[in-house]
Amino acid sequence: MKKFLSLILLFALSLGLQAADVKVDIRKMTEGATGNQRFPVIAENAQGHRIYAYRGSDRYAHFYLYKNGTWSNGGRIPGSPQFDDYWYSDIVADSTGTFHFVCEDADSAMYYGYFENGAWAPMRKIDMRHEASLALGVQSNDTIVLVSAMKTMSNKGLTKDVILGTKLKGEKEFSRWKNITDDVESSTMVDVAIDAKDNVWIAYKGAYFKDGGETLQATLLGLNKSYEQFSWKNVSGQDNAWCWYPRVAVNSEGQVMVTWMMSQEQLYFYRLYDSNTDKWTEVKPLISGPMRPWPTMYNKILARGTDFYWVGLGGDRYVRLYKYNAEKGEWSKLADVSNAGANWCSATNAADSILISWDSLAEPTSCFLTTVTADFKPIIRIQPVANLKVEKHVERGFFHGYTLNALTWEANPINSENQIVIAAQRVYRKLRTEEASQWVHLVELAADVRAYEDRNVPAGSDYVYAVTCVDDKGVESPIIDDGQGASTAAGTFEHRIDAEPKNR
Amino acid sequence: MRTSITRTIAAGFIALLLIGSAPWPAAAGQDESTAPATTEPQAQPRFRIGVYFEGSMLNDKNLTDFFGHSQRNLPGFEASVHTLYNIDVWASYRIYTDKTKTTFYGKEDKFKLNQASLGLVYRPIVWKVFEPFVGAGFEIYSYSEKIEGTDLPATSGNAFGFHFQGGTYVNIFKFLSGKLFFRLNGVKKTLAEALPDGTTKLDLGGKEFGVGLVFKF
Repeated sequence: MKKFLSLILLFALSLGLQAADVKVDIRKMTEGATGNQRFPVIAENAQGHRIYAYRGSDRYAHFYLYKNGTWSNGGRIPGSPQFDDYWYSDIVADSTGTFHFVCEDADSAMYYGYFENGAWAPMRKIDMRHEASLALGVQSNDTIVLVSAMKTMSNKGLTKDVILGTKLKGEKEFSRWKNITDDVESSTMVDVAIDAKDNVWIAYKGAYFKDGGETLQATLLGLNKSYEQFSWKNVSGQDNAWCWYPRVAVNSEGQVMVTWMMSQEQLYFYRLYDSNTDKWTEVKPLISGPMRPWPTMYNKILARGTDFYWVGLGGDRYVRLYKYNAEKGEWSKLADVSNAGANWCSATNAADSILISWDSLAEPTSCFLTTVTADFKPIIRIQPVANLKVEKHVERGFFHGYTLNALTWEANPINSENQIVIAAQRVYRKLRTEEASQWVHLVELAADVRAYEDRNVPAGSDYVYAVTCVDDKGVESPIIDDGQGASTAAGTFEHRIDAEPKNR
Repeated sequence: MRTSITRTIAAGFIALLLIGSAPWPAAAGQDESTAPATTEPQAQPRFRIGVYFEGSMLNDKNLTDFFGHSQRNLPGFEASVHTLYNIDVWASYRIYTDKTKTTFYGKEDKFKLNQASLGLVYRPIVWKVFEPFVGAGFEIYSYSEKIEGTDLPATSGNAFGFHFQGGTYVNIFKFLSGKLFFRLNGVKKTLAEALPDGTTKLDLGGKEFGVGLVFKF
């Protein structure tokens, strides 16, 4: 009885410790499923749509779609093979709202699919010998960066190197593979973060041979937007250490947070790197009992404006959300994320919340989604222009003429409300029947321009247009491509030709 | 190109006047003093130079609709040389112009049609006051369209056709007549490049009517 009362007291205290304005909503995603559902990941796009992807008990990739406030079971992702072993996966959304999903199969292969205009392009095998873990990032021009590892044969024998592949906007597959670690170390377990300058920050588990032995070190590598290395650091830096599953995030100020789990200490460690000053800051590890992670290691760092949030599995298998206190250089707990022991967790930023996907040891037939709402800094996303209108006209003399689409728009008040400095505007065009990946950049305009004429378009053409805004850091707003957004409009409108000659 | 064509037309016009001013074979070698008075009961002036003011209506409804005027009033110049049998070699020149704004940007669009005519005029009856005439001949046109401050290209070209005309001189003084006339022109062209509405037919023929003053000497 005494023990029971103590437990009640502890539970009440834990509730009291949780900030009053933090709301936690736990949702069972795979209701009614049988067998083990595992390794869920989630992403939200600029339109607020979400994809929750996971490995079903049938060993196919499955997904749920969240749209207009409702989740729907999408079933198997088209093209998904029946995986021998599906563990690591990642999903991101680009500025056009397209989701990009990559998952691995049995430490040997990766598969890629994208969800665009409400449908999946069937998953296809990526032509790369894969090895353990992967991560996706999105650059401001919607280049998707895939970081993984591959097996290579060198004079040291079979080693593993971190590789980077890119998929440019409009391309269907990843290519331009680059061996980042260049066969020097045996490196796996990667994570990637893209900063506001489109630099690519990669954290990985580097294996180093020293004094005849091997140590595993959390390593941070910086690549510029041309994917040339400009920064490298053995972050954990302890001899004979065994570091696992390093994670990385970069905030809006260019500060890079790296975390890893060290098996000897049974602790998550963190270090903060300021890329502007080249200064490293120690962050106090979480030493409280439940967060001693061994034998788990799954965690995720998120950057939200200038803030960092960290989600991790504790030794008790429960998932918790922490916020980084920059003044104290330590983490403070924000919320209990899971109501049961978990096998896996991942997380992503939503516009007004943090979404944590996890699977349950206690209830393995279900995957879960925890939505944590707090006084988060809103994800300030630069918005496209407002009230874009397109009218088709003919400019002609008697002998010559051409059809033009005249675009007019207004500044988006959301940008000014958020004090976003607009540096330029970009006009895009595509045929109505073309996919969202086929937007063609027409012109870049000054920030104060409110009209543009697309001249010499074919008379019978059916173009739709988008006008995006680019801020002073080069970040471009998304193209809203659901036909109802503020940034697109179609080119078949009122025919306002006052002096159109009559047919003979 | 257009300038050279205009020069060619002008040179041809002057040459024809000079040729016309020379005695025709029937009159050549015939001494004026020995010519029978019955064939030339009253010595006719050899040259007539006139100005006129006319109403010009082009057939091309596409063009007139585009520029917004079905009729333009314009001055013209004419000259003729009497040859024989009350037949004159006759030539005329006038410039038809119109302008409008382009349909979207509202740039000024100027159309210009240089119209040169060359033909024969026959005056079957020479009364004291009226000298009715009929005539026929060729039409030689050059046209151009210029639009200022636009990416639409300028256009120019030539067209050829014929005319029929009729009217009367009204003799006021020995050296001065009035003139009333009506002219029908047939000048059609197929354009190599279609107009924006798809048609390739250009009909620059039309009707002209006007009054003028003609100096005779």
